[in-house]
Amino acid sequence: MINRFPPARLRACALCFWLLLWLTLPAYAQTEPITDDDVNVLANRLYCPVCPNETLDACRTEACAQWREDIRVQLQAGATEQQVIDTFVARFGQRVVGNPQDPALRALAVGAPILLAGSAVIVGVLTFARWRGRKGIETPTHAASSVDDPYRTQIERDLE
Amino acid sequence: MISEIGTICLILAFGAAIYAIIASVIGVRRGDNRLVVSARNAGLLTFPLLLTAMLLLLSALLTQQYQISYVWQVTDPNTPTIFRITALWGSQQGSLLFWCVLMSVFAFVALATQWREHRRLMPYVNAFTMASLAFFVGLVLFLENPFTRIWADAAGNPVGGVFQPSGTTFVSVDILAQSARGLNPLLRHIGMIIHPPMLYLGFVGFVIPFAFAMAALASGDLSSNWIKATRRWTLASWLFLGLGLILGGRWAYDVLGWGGYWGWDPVENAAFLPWLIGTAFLHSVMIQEKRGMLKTWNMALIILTFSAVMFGTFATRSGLIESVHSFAQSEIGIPMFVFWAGITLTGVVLIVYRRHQGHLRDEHVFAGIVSRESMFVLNNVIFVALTGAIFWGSFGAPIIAELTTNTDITLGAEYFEMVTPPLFIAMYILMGIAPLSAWGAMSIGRLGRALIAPIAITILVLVVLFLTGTTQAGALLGYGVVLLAGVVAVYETVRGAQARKRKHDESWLAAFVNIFGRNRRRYGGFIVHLGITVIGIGVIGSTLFQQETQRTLAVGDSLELGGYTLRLDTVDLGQIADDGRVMDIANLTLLRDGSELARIRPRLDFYPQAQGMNTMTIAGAHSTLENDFYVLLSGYEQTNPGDSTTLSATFKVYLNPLVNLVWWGGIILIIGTVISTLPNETAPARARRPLEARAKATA
Repeated sequence: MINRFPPARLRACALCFWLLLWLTLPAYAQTEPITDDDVNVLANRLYCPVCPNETLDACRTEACAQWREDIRVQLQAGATEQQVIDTFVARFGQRVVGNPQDPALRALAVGAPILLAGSAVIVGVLTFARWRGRKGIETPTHAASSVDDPYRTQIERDLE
Repeated sequence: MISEIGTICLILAFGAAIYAIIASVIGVRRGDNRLVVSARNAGLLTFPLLLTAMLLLLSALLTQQYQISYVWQVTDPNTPTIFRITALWGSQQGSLLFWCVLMSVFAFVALATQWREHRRLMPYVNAFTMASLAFFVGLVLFLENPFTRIWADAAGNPVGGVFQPSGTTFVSVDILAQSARGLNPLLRHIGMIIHPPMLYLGFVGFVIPFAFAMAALASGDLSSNWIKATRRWTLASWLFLGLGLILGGRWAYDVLGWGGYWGWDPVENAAFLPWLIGTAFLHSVMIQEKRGMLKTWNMALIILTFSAVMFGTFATRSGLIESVHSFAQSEIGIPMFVFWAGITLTGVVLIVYRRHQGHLRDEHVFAGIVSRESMFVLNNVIFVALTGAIFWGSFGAPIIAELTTNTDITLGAEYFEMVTPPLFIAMYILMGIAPLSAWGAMSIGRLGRALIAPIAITILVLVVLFLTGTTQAGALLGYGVVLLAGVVAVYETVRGAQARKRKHDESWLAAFVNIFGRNRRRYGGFIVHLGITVIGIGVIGSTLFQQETQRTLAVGDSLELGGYTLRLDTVDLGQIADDGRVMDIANLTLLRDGSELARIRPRLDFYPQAQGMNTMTIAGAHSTLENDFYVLLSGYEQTNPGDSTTLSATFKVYLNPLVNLVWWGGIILIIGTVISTLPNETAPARARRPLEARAKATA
C-alpha cells in the first residue's frame, strides 16, 4: 500500500485543521473556573429530557448531573449561553427549553395568547358598544348609589 | 371478604345512581311525584354505600391486607399509620373512590337540604349529579377497582381479580408483605394529609353549581333561583380549591426541592384553571343577581368551570401529560375524554337552545360605561384571557405542535412569565378600582375622587419602600399596583365601619363586627382582596429578589448569601428512621453579623423499598416574615470513609424574601371566603322597619 500522507504532511494538515477550528471558536476558552452558580443559571433555562417538567438545575437524576457537567464543560470551552442551549435542543429536541427555539413553533406558542388576549379585548369592547347602543332604553332611577341592601343604602347616604 | 363487600357496595351505588337518573327523568316527564321522590332516595343512598366501600378500603390499608392489590401498591409494613390513611388517595384507584365519596357527600347534602326550597329544579339536579357520580363509580367499578386482589396462577405469576379466577391459588399475606411497594416518597409529607382532600373537595364541589345550571336549562326555570341556590356551593368549592392550590404550593416548596412553590407544571395549571373561571363566575353572577344581566354568560361560565375540572381530571389521570403530580397512565383516558366532551357539549347545546328560545334575555340594559357592571365584565375578560393563556401554554400549544409537526415541546416558566404578568397587573388594577364604582352608572369624576385617598396612601407606602432600599422600578410598579388593591379593600372597610360608628355611636370594634355581620359578602370579599394582595406582595418579593447559590463545603467551611453566613458543622450519614428510610443529615449553623440565628438541618432521605424515585431532598429552612433562608443538601463526598474531616457536602441555598406572605395571604383569603359564605345577620325588626320604609320611599 502506498502511503499518500507522509507523517510530516499529516502533522501539517492536523495543525491547519486545529488552527481553523480555533479560528471558528466564538470566544477564548474561559480562564476563570466555571462555578456551580454559572451552570445553574443556564440549567434553570433547560428542562430535563427525561423527567417531566423538571428544570435541569433541580433534577436529581444522575443523567441530569451529567448534563449539568456537560454545560460546565461547554461554558469552560468558551461557548455562549445560546450555543449551549442550541446544543441541547439539537441533541434532545424542543422539549428541553421552556419556549421553543424554532421560530415557527415560537410564533405558535406566543402568538396564540396574544391573539386570544386581543380577541378578549375585542369581545369586551363589542359588549360595551352593544350595551351603549341600548343605553337609551333604560336609565337607572338612582344610578349613582350602591343598593346591596337597605342598610348599605343608609351607609351610602351617611357618607354623602 | 373486604374485597367482596366493597365491590358489592360499588355495584349497589352504581345501580342506585343509574336508577336515580332514569327515575328522575321519567318522573318529571310523567309528573309522577312518587317516582321523583324514589329517585331522590336512590341519590341519597349512594353516599352511605360509597362511604362503606371507602371505610372498607381504609380498614384494609390499616390492617395491612396485602392480598388486596391497592394495599400492596401503596403501603408496606414500615408505613406509619398516618400515611396508611393518606394512602387512600395516594394512587389512582383509591383516589377515584375517595373522589366518588366526596361527590356523593355533596349530592347528599344538596338533596337533603335544598329539596323543598327548589322543588322544580331538584329532580334535574339529582339527575345531573347522579350522571356525574355514576360515571366515576363506573370507572372505579369496571376499570380501576381498588378491591382487586392478587392471586397466583399455576406458574406462580400474579393474577388480578376481585373474585378468585379459575386455576389460581391464594397468596399468603406474609409473602406479599415482603414485596409491598410502599407509598410514593413524594407523598410522605404532612401536606399530603390535607392537600388532596381539599383539592378534590374543590373539584367535586363544582358538580352542584353545574347541576343546578344544567337543571335550570333543562327545566326552563331560568329565573335567578339557580344562582341563589348555588352561591354558597360555588363559594365553598372555590374556597376548597384555593386552599388545595395553596397547600399544593407549600407541599412543592417543602418536598420538591427547587426553592419555589409554583412551577407552571401542567397539573398545577389544570387545578388553577377552574379556580380562575370560578373567580370570573363569582363576580359575574353578581351582575345577574343585581341587574338580571349576563344570563347566558353566567351559564357558560359555570359549565366551563366544571368542564375545566373534568378536563384537568382527564389530563392528570389519563397520562395525557407527564408531571411529578400526575397519576400513572391508565385505561380511563378515553372514557374520561368522552365524558368531558359529552358534558361540555350538552351544556353548550342547552345554552344555545334556551338562548334561541329567548329564555336567557337580559332583564335590564347597560346604564353607563363607568359602572360596577362594566368593571365586572372587564374582570371576566381578564380572567378568561388568563385561563386561555394558561390552557394554551399547558395543553393547547404542546398538543397542536405534536399533532401538526410531530414535535414535542414544553412551555415552561419562560412562556408563562412572559404571557401572564400583563394580565395579572390588569387584574390587580381592576381590583383597586372596581370596589369604588357603583351599580348602574357613575361619573368618571366621582370615581376619580373616590380613588384619590387610596392612591395617595399607596404612593406614600411606595415612597417609604423606596427610602428603605427598594429601588428597582419593576418591583415598585408591581408593589404599587398590588398595594392599591389592598389599600382600597381596607379603605372601603374602614369607611363602612366609620359610617356605622357615626350612625350608631358604637366603638370601632363594634362597628367593624356589625358591618361584617350585616353584609358578609361585601366585607368578606374585601378580606379576600386583601389576601390576594398579600399573596401578590409575596410573589413579587420572592420572584424578583430571590438570591441563590450552590457551593461545596468541607466541615467547618462557610458560605455567604444576602448578608447571612452558613457554616457546615457536621454531616450525620446513614441515620435510620422508624419507617425504614435512610437519612443523611447536614448540620448547619446560620449566622448574621457573627451572631448565631438558627440551626438548619437539610437532609437526603433514601427509601430502599420504593420503586422509581426513591430519594427525597428535604429542605432545611429558617423562616421569618422577612424571608426564608432555604437550604438543600444536593450531595456529599467522603474521600476517606469513616473520617469526617475528609467529608464535603454540596448545598443549594436560596434566600426567598417575603415568601411567607404567600402562605399568610392564603390564610387571609380563606378567612375572607368563609366570612362571605356565611349567611348575613338580619337586623332586628325594630331597626329594620324604618330603614325599609325609607328605602321604599327613595325607590
